[in-house]
Amino acid sequence: MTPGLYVYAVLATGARADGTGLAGEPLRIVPCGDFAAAVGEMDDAPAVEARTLRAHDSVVRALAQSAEAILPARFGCVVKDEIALRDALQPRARELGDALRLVRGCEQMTVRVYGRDAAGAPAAEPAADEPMTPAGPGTDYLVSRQRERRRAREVPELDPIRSALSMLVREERAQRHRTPPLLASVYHLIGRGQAAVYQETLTRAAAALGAVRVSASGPWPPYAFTPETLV
Amino acid sequence: MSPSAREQAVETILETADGSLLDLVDNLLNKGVVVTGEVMLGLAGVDLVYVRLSALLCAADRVFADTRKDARP
Repeated sequence: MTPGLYVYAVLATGARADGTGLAGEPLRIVPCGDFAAAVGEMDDAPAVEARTLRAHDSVVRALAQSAEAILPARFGCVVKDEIALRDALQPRARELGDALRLVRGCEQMTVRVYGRDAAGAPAAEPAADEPMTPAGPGTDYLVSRQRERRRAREVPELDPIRSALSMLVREERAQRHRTPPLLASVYHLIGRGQAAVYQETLTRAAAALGAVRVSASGPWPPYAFTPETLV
Repeated sequence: MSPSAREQAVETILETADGSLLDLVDNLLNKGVVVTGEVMLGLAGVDLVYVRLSALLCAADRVFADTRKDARP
């Protein structure tokens, strides 16, 4: 039996994959039409451990060094072979292409927004579970964009600092949580190399937030800016 | 690895995780391109991550109360 392929990332065509994967296996590029995937041969998905999670992230970061645009794969994606990989990705070519254009030259900052329900905005309803749309990838993309815009508006706690960050933030994803004091997670797409400026700007602007506290981590590869899945 | 075994493994990590590891869990298990259906943690698992995140980053013990109850249907 031939080994399966562990998928690390989707990249623009022409990307290189020189290093090794999380199990020490050599990486290689599988062309998939308009884009490519970085994979390593592996029989089964590795166990979820701190070590393997860190290793996956390291591999993605190394790939990002030589790729202007990278969409990290979720941890644990193993496909049977190259044919299965192309079959999985090509129906989503349009949304993946759009996402690759979005993340080109960018990385992600993650902002956790904390506060008391009583102090800030009313305890927001979490984003309602969205109905699955039995539609094509184009429609799915539009639906997901719409949903993202709506979600972004659902973090009014950040409104006082949005103008300060607007020069740096190219795109935002947000997710509200039902677990106070964590009110929301906000993911900002910023230009590569701007993380320090972003942190300074955020720290300076955060004084305007009153009782709401924010804490940012990053830079991360743009994990939160991959196409939303409607699996 | 079955979804339930995976969820259990995640729970084990979250028990001992520091902030940076929690961010990793969020990014690697909740985000990223899904190439196969089998890796999905399930929505219950996603909520679990945030319950733990909130609890661990803020030491707000009360959010530990029944993590499953909050899981989305």
